[in-house]
Amino acid sequence: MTPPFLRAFPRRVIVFNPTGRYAARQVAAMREAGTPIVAGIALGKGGGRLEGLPLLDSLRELDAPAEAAILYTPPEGTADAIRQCAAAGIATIVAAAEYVPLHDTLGAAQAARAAGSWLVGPNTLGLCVPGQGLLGSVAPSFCRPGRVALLGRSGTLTLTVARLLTAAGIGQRIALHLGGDAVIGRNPHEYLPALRDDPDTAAVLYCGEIGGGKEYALAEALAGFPKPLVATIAGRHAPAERQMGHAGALIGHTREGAAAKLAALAAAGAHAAQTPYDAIEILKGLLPA
Amino acid sequence: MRLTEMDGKALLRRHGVAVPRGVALPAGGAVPPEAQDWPGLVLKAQVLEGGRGKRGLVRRVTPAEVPALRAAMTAQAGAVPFLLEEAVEITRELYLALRVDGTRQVIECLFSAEGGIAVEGAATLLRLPVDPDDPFAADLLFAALRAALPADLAARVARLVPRLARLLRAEDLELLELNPLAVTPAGLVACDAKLVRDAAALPRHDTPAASAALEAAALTPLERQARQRGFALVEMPGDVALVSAGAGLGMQLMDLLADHGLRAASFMDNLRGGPAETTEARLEAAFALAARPEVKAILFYTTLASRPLRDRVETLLAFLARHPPPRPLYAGFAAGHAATRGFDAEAARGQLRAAGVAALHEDPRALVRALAADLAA
Repeated sequence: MTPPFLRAFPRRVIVFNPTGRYAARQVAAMREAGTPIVAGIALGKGGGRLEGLPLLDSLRELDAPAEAAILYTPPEGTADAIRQCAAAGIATIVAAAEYVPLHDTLGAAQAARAAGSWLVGPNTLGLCVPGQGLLGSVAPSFCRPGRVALLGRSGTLTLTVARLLTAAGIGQRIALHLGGDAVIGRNPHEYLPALRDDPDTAAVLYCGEIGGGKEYALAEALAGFPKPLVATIAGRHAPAERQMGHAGALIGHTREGAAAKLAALAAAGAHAAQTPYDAIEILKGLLPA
Repeated sequence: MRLTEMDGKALLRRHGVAVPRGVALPAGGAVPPEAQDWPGLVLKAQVLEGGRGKRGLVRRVTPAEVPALRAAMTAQAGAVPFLLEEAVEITRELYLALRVDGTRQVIECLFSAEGGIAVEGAATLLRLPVDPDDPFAADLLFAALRAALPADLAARVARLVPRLARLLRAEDLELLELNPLAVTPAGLVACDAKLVRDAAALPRHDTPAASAALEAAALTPLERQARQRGFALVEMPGDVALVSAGAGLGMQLMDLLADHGLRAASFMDNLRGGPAETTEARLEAAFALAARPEVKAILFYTTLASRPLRDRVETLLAFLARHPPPRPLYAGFAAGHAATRGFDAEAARGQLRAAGVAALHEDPRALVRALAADLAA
């Protein structure tokens, strides 16, 4: 399956729980970036408006199907919101909330997958397709159109690296924060088939981090991937057995450390970079001037 | 949150999983009456770290030995709770764990026919997906376990695993590890249990007091204070007090410092239930760290997509007006268009310099380089 937003940027976008302080700011930024948001779903606020955006009590009140949904639903309601969107056949679901319980996400991610939806997050800043639109909070001003697909497991680091790429003159096909939790809708390796076939992607920059095993699945999937993938792993100097922030980032085993992950990716054919700065230098060498 | 063995076994017992009879040893150390007639006793210090057996914190005892051994264990492990358990007759030890495999998006069962050892040391570790809602889950597991165990034992383990998978989900556990899972004349008994509850789901459950107390005791005073103020702090031996937001960026800054011969003395991230804004609390923690002689500088870096940069800078300026930095402060901001709306970045730079900020850079590496160069000079 191809991430729908790589085929074409969604033309009808809805936002769940758009009226909170944080969410309202994101909605304003997305609309300013040109994202075609058609409605907000806010139970109890139906019939109202948010800066001109019509609010509906329920997803069922939409007059035409949405192609993408961005969820600013609090963590305890996120799984239900994902299931609603999946049941409604929404192709792209971006779940922003941090601290969604692990088993809630597991069930909701399975439901979204079974329904054929592409879930980004939870615990994500979303994605920006430079020049086309924004689903979430990846600042468009940090990005510029180009041919590098940036995938990151950390939100702030994805933002930082997008900005460094742009400053270095390297544009992005997409800047996407996969989600910071142990269970996320789609894992890094699941993006490779679509990026392989995408004529607008020349290279991939993967910014991983310590903890978990997602990088090993990515390494396995690299066999036969015809485009360069540059990989960097944050947390090379993180202490073992200490939780470094969100759920994914804990070295429980040597295998989950940065050195082992980088080595596995390098052995699979990735260009391993110690830092994002090194990654950018590698990309400069790989991409035509 | 990791549960103590005692709290974990109480949870298992509530779900009908067999565990040895056990009792919390009261403060006086005397063997409680119900334990007097048990055929054998095991004294277990309730610490959260692994390797208790090797450290002498799990011992077979007679009732008469309990007070002295408890005192010896307390001298080693500190004032921790103690579990006094019935020694069970073990004919074979197995290893069994359940956890969520985030990449495959399944609950998975880890099984080894050799229990009682560190899982990394297991010669053959089976990894089997388990669907807790599949009525035929036990049949599928049996087929996989049959190669490693006699049929009757494979069947017993196969029947247990789906129950444990449902327990894992109902109790919001990240990990449920039984090592050893003992084969006894009375059936399968979980002789040791490591249970880790998903921090994001803690509000759904009663917090076991002993586990919470031990977890809090493992934190430094500053780490405890940070939790109370709504953010996570990890203190480390280091020479730069690091104030950051976001785990990935924080780790990247730690890496950059290390690449320049420096070590971060702190790592910070958000915490569930914390307030939206914790910049001031983070600065207070960093300044407290920077008052220590080994800490030479403070590094403050933040990337903002849409949260107003003005708020962050004004918080920093107000804090600096009240608290002159105990060490040179290096600051950096990267802010998206939406974050800088209506904000005069140049004026802010001037104000920050006037407030004593040693260097300002938008690029984290340039900031770390400036810091490293100054410290080397």
